[in-house]
Amino acid sequence: MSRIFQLQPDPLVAGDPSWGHVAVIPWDSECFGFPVGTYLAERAGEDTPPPAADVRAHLDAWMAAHQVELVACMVPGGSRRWMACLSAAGFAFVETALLAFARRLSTLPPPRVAVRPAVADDHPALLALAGSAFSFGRYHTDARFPRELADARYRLWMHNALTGDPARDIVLATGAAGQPTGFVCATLDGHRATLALAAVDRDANPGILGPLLMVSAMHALADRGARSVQVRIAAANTAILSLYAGLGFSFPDAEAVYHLHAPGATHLGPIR
Amino acid sequence: MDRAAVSTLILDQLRHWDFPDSTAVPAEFSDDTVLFGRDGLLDSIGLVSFVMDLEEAIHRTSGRAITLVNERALSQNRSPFRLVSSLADYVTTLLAEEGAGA
Repeated sequence: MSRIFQLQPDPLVAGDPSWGHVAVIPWDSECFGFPVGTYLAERAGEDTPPPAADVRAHLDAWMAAHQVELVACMVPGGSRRWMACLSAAGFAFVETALLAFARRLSTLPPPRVAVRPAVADDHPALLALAGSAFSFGRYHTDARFPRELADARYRLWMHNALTGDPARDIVLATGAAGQPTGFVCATLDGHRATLALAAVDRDANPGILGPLLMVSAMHALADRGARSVQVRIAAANTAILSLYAGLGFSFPDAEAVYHLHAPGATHLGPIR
Repeated sequence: MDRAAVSTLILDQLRHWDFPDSTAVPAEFSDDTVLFGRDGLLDSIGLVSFVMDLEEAIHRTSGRAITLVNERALSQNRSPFRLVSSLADYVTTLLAEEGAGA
């Protein structure tokens, strides 16, 4: 059974919520073997940020107290003051994450390839594919973060999806049982499907299988009651961006993603 | 619909296709034009759209319905969508099979 993790945010500055909150990310920390955290700048879309030097000082103290080696901060993509503050505080820009959203799944083109629920024989290949197929996502894009740990995180996501509640955690695969050529992992919450991971085997005609897999997967999700689909993608992943745009997705939200690396972080390498 | 007619149909569709980056489009197209893959004119979603439009064009022109984008196409060792010539060969084969009731 999967453990239930929850963020436990604390104010960055005691008694003053305008500075935002910080929290260790327990699921990522357990996966990586060292603490990583998040700085929740909840008012980044509205307020002028505090002085960057002061933000950094408070974060350094919190990171030292909790042995946190990396802190992420996501702010709305147009919050230029906060983006400037984070940069001045020593955060490295990692990526712009877009929310892709589609409704009216009935207007999709008809499915051309078969997708099926993943079976036990698929698990080893799916785990291997999840742990090798990705180049985007904030930990993959962070040039100082070990690639093998970023891959391990997605393998864990796949493991959790394969062993989770099948009514909510859906893993769809293409190809013969035991020899999957691609997959889509999604969660279904009422009528909203959220795509978590999707990939195709590089040896399986990936250029054309990708779009066909996505169409078939969305039909499968619609058959399970989904009326809309959402997914977070990296803006720099223009191939996926083009795919979703071609399928009628809109992009209603953008986040700028930053990472702060603790001085002397032992698990973070040089720029790779 | 013979192979020459299929090739003409594909080339005509290419000439009228809206490419996102017009600067990468050659002045002329031929059987050797690379459609997809390394140095290809189309990205993945573009290829799917192009081939689906081609299916409709074939149906309009010949009255015959064939499916180009499917699992059979994915299972080919060499992608039939790589070149104009390989696509024309693939379409011609499918039309022949369809005509023979395969």
